[in-house]
Formats: sequence, structure tokens, C-alpha cells
Amino acid sequence: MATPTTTTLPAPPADITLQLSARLAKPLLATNPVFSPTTPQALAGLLRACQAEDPAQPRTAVPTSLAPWQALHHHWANDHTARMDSGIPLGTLNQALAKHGQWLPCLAPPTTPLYTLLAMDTLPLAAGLTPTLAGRYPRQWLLGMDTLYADGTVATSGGRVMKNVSGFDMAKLHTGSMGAYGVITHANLRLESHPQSLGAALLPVGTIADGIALANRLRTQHPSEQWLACELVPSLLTQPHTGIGLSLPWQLLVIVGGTRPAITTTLKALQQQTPQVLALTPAQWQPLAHTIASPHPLAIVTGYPSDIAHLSQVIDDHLQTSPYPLYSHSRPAAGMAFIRGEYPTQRGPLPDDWHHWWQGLQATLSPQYHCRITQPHPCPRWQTVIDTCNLPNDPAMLSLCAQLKHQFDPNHRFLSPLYPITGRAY
Amino acid sequence: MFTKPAPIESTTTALATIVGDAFVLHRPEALATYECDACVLVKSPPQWVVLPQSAQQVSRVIQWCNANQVPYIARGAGTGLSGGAIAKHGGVIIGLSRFNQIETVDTHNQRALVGAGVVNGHLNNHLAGTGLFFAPDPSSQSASTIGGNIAENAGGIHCLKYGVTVDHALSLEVVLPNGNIMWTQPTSNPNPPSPHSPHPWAPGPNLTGLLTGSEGMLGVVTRAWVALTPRPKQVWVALVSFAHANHAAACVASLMANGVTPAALEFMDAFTVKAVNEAFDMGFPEGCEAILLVELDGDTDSVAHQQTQARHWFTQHAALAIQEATTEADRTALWQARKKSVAAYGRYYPAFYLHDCVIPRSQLAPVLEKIVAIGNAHNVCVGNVFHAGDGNLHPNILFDPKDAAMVERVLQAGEAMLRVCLDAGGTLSGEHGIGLEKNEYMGWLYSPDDLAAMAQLRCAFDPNNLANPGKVLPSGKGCGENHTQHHTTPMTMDNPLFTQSGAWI
Repeated sequence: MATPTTTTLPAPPADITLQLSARLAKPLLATNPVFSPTTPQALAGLLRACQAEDPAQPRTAVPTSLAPWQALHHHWANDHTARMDSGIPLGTLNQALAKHGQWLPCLAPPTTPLYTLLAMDTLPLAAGLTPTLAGRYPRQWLLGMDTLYADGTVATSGGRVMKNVSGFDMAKLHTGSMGAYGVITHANLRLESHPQSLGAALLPVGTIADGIALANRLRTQHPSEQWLACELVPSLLTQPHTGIGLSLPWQLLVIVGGTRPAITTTLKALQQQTPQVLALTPAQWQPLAHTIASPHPLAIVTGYPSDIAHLSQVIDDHLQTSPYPLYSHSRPAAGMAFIRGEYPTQRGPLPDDWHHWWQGLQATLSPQYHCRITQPHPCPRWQTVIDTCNLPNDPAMLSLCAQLKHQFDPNHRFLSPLYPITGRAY
Repeated sequence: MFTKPAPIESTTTALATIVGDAFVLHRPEALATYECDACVLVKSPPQWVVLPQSAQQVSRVIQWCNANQVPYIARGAGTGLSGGAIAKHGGVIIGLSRFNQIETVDTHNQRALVGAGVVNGHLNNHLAGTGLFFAPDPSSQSASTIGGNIAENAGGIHCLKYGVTVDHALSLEVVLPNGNIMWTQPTSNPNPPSPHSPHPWAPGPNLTGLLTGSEGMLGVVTRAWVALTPRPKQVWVALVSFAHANHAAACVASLMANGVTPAALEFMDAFTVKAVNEAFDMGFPEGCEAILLVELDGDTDSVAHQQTQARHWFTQHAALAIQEATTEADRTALWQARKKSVAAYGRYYPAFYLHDCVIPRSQLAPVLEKIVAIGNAHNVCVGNVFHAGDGNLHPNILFDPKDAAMVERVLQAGEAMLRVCLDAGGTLSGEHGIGLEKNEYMGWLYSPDDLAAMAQLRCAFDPNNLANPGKVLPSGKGCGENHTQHHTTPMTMDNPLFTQSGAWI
């Protein structure tokens, strides 16, 4: 996927809409140079300057990157907490935390900015097998945050302690909102001790149903806090990453953390489930984990653990009809499936058959499952598909979201393409 | 602040039309039950109590309140410790006790659909035999309701490992302040709920998280999908005695810093140890000045590994004695020391004033020293029994309510303790809420801009400022007052919020 040139604007236009999105460090929709404010104060100054402008005037959408905000300000190792800039990449953060044997338990690609994890509120790999639905969301690591609002003020919520019910938890407004109401500038996070060791294995299976059944057996027979991930992935994804020739079309990828003897014991237990289990080296499983934990799938489809087999099969059947190279993988314990691939075009209109295919998928999934498009495309026709997939179907919720937008960003300074209702007048 | 409500008779009739004659209370003797929650020394009765049984009825009551500019306050079992369910400005209390149905238990997906009035402990009794439990366990769980737990974002002894209520709330049915009924996560078929909806992972702001802990100021929660947690295979409890509080506090820091994650990690100080020993003859070793109760759970391998680590750190920090328990009967016996501590305080004074501040746990030792010094300086008895693993302090300042001079010293000591905790990087409340007990202290913790953002959130939900007004935000932080300078008003003699013996901590 082509990455547009990033340029720091010498003097940003006085009256703008900031195109903040989960991909602040990699704005796909960039048609203008990228604005990279060096500090939150610089961005705040710009927003304050905008206050004097007429909000009705046409504005330029300025892709805004938080990539320069990468500092880890404090690591209170004895408290298992840290304070950092929101633009810090996950790899940079975990490398610094590793000095004290701690980490943010997430196996997303090391280049993923923290902002992406928080603003998208993704369920990253390393969510574990149990608990399932209430598993480790990034919002559960957040102890507090600083947010830059549209009027240029910065407000703090929460703190750096493990429990906190002092006032409204404003962080909950911003996690998952794709920058619709403000810009997360700093985060205070709860950390975990890094397991002594991580291990991974592939368990080949013939069908989706077999893979889900095996995942369920593992979940019920071996519930263990050592499980970090259990993902059903297709061979076309595992083979290129691992270099292993696979005769069966699907594999269950299992990642565990713990002491070395405990991991050995776990891998032996897996061999009892299926003798063909393949232990992976870090060089084999890490790129695979990064791919399936990337926060930028084309779509995320959510059901429940009890219907993940049906959900995954429906998607796979539909993928067989796709004129484009797309693939899916499933997270059985979370009841989620992911659709990944590339757009056929990056700039021009998407072909008709692409639209037809997605609308067919949406019609097949709806209303039993929730399909969310996570990568918008500049093609105007694509907006219809995004709306169909992403908008809440509840008028009360739409009305509340409109009130929130009106209260926090009345002049629509923040364009949030992954949350399309905020990008339009209502 | 609010316009004068309609006459009692016509209002009672209007409310009875919505919920039925039998479910509108307006006589003084009936309202007396609702004049306070567990903050028993602050009393302000509502004009009416309604007991609806559906979200639609709640919606109609709220719409009536909006039309007549009458405040309304949601109430569960009234076990809250911060005055969150007190009708500070009068109005209508919406009692949710009739929402007491456990509608669905979905074991495969580890979740349950429950009414807001379901008692926490009743849900766990109902789950017996499923291998699952509802993890939030406030000490009030035998009486407090799921709706109340959600409103306060309740914690409990085991939230150190399992998280607080917000970590177990999947989706909420809420009646918004404009009367709209909404599930906080999108759903294709909300009523009746389908097994496929609502899903906790959805685009947009985390409305479930926003509503949880909002103390009924953003809406009234009527039903909830909650997450259920698999029961651990193995549980191990140790009661560890120390000669000095500093040793115990340092042990807490070492355990947590070295990767031991207990399910519970509780601390009792010298005064509490003495009180419990005198009252119940617990047989603590000679010279014991602090006790840690440590509970490990999980799979067998994990518990065994952490036991080894825990014993190492107990020894490193000069533990006097270690009593261990693996059977349920033995575990229950060890936990008695913790559970009887509040009752033991009653031998000294008839009441206590309880704080709920949280500090970074590395600050436990120095902050505890300062709390003891503050107690001495103000000539008041202070017992500390608290959730050490997450740094959630519960200094209990004992006093006689009839002794006005002592009450004044208690208030001053409490304020000094709050200051010490905030100076150490802490916060005002970890699990009891702000309510009207601590809202005037919010300016100590947050800047005017921080509070303005919270006020804006409140305005987005409730521009009429009728949903549980006068709580959480400091006085004057209503809609239209954003970004104005905030002035705190310290607690005074006529606004004490004391907790009597027997309250939940």
C-alpha cells in the first residue's frame, strides 16, 4: 500500500478541518501535505487560531500526524504504570518498558502508534482465551489521558492509580471515537510483567468448523492464563510468513507466555490434541502475529463465540466469490473475524464489482452480525457502503452522538473518517 | 435552581398514571426510607418515590420530570457510601428494585442479561454450578444491586485481578435524560434481546464505559449484559503477620513489582490488628503490627509458581508468621480477620468516617506513616484496613458523633489525609464514588479545564441538569458554566458525611 509523502507544513492554513484518524501516522486519504505538529501545544495554537474564523467557510482538510509525539515521559516501574505521548509506536514503548521486565501486552506491529490502539479501541492479539468478551481492550489499560479539544484547551481525566472513580471517565469518550471529539495527546497506562518466555505453535485443521471446535476444546479443557492468542488463519497467510509447507487449508495459531517449563508443558498438551502440531520460532510467528494483529483490516465482523463457526464460514464462502485477493481470519474466543486485503485502486473510483461484492457481503451478514469497515476509501460511492456498515442503527444513539459532537466539536474541526456520522452536518 | 414542582396531589396522580398507584410513595413515613443512602448523617427526602418495572415507565417518568423541571435520582439498594442516591434537591427517586429479573445466562458466551435491581450476590448464587461468576464483589454484594454497582463502578476485594465493574459491563439499557431508551452498544434486535446482540465491540465512543461510574447523572440504567468469568481451578490464601507496617507495605510493592498478581491483597494496620484480636481473639503472633491477606487463584501451575514467589517475598520482608489455607473452610477462617475488622472498631467508638483515596502502591509506606501522624496530630483514632494491591486506602477515623469537638478534628484529619494522598499522585475515590461527599474536593484534583470538559459531557447528555443534580461536579459546574473559574468549598460542620459501623468497605 503506497504511503503518501509526509511534509511538515511551514505555516498551516488558519482555518482548517483536521483530518485526524486512526492512521495519523499514515494518512491514506492524504491529498494535501501532512501537518506534523511538533508538540500538542503547536496543535493547540492552531486550533485556537481557528476559533476566530467563520466556521461556515469552506475549509481544507489537513491530514495531521502525531508521529513526532513519541516520548515516554515516566515509567513508574514499581507501580506498573507509565505516562507517554500518544504517538509513541508500540515497539518503541515496549522496548523501553522491557528494561524493567514490563510490557503493554499487545502483539500488534511494532510501528503501530499507541494512538491507533486507543482511538480505534481494537481488540489486539494477546487478548488471551479467557475472559472472552470482556477481554483485554486497550481501554482497560488506560488509567488516564490528556485530550486536546477543538477550542485549543487540554483537559486531563483519570490519573495514574489503579482504581479511580473521581469524576466522569472522559477517556471512555475518546477510546473508539477515531478522534471525533478531541485529540488524545498523552496517556497513562497500566502495564504488565512480561512473561519469562513466549512460545507459539500451529495446529493444522481441514475445515473452519474443525478449527473452531479445536479452539473451543482448548478453551474449555485448558483454560490457562498462559494463553495470549488463539487465531484461526488460512494457509495462504501462514505459509509465506512461516515458510512451512502446509497440507491442510487452515491452522490454529496458538501463542502462550509463561515460564519456559510451563510453555513446554503447554506445547506437549497441544500435541495430545493434534499430533501434527508445529512449534514455531520467533522469526516465524512474530511476522504472522503482526499481520493478523494489524489494526488496519478492511473490515471487522463481530458475532459471539457461540456463532463464530457459522460467521467464519459465511465470510469464507463469500470470499470465494470475490474478484479480488482478499482473505479472512477468526478470533474464536472473541467471536470476531477479520477481512484483509488491498483496495484495487488507491485514488480513482472503485470498480463496480468491488461495490457489488461488498454490498452482497453486507446483505449476507446483516442483521445477525455487525460488519464494520475500518479502511475508508476516497471513492465517494464507497461512502454508502461505509454508512451501511458503520452507522449505529439506533436513532437514540445517533441523536446522542450528534449531541456529543455538538458539545465538543461544534465547528467540526475533527474529521473522523472511520466514524462517518461526525464528518457531516446533521 | 429548580422551578417549584407541581402540587403534591396532582403530581402523585400523574406519576401513578405511569407506574400504578401502589408504586408511588409520597407520605412522609414512606419517604423516610429514602432520605439517605449509606451516608446516614446527610438526609434529604425526596418528594416522591416511584417504583417502575420497565424502561418505558422510567422513560415516561423522566419525560414528566423534564416537563415539570423536577430532579430525579436513580436508586438501587441505597448502599452507596458517597451520598450518590440522596435527593439533595428533592424531586423524584426512581427506585429500581422491581428490575430484579435474571433474564438470560449464556454460559457459552460467558455473559448474562440482568435487571438493574438484581442483587449482586443473588446473581452469583444463581450462577452456582455453571463454573462462572460475576467478578465485581463490593463488600455490600449481599445487598447492593447490579445497577448500583454500575452507577458507582464498584470494586471489591478481588478487583485487583479481575477488574472493577466497568471491566465486566458489556452493554447497558439506559433511559437517557431526554427519555430516549437506548442500548449502549448497537444491536440489531434489542427488544427482546437476541443472543447475537448487543456486542461489546462496536464503533464509536465507549458509551458503556461512560455510563458506568457516572453516578446516574448521564442516564438511568435499567438492564445490563454483564460478563461472567470462569471460576479459578485453584485458590490459595495466606495470612501473613509483620512486626512493622513498613515491612508489610514494602512486601506489597515487592509482590506486585515482581509479577505476582494476587486475586486479593488486603492490609490491616496495628490498630486494626489490636482491635480484631481483642474483640475476637484471633491469636495473632506476639508483636504483630500489620497483616497482609494474600489470595492467589488460577490454574494449578500458575498458582504453584506464584506461591513460591510470594513465600520468597514474605520471608524477604521479615514476616513473623505465615498461615496458609487451600480448603474453603480454612480460607473462610483466615478471611474472618479482615471481615470482622469493622465490627471490632465498634468497641472503641460508635461511628467512623471513611475515606476511599487511591495512591500509587509504591507510596504505601510513606503515606501510611503520614496518615498515622495526622491521626496523632488531631488526636483521633485511625484504623487502616484496605485493598493494598491496588493502593486503595480506607482510613477509618473513629469518633463519637455527640462530641462536636471530636467531629471537628475528624473533619480536619480527613482533609489532611486527602491532601497527603493527592500529593502522592493519588485520587479522591477508588470505588465509593464522589457523590455529594467529595464533589467540592474535585477542584483539588482537577483543573478548571478538566472540570469544564466533564461539565460539557454532562450537558451533552442532560442539558436540563435534572439527572441526579448536585453530585460529582463541584457546585456551579452546570451547563453554560464551562471554562469558568472553579472555587472549592471545603467540607464544613453542617455537611459532614459520616459512615457508621457496619457500612461496607
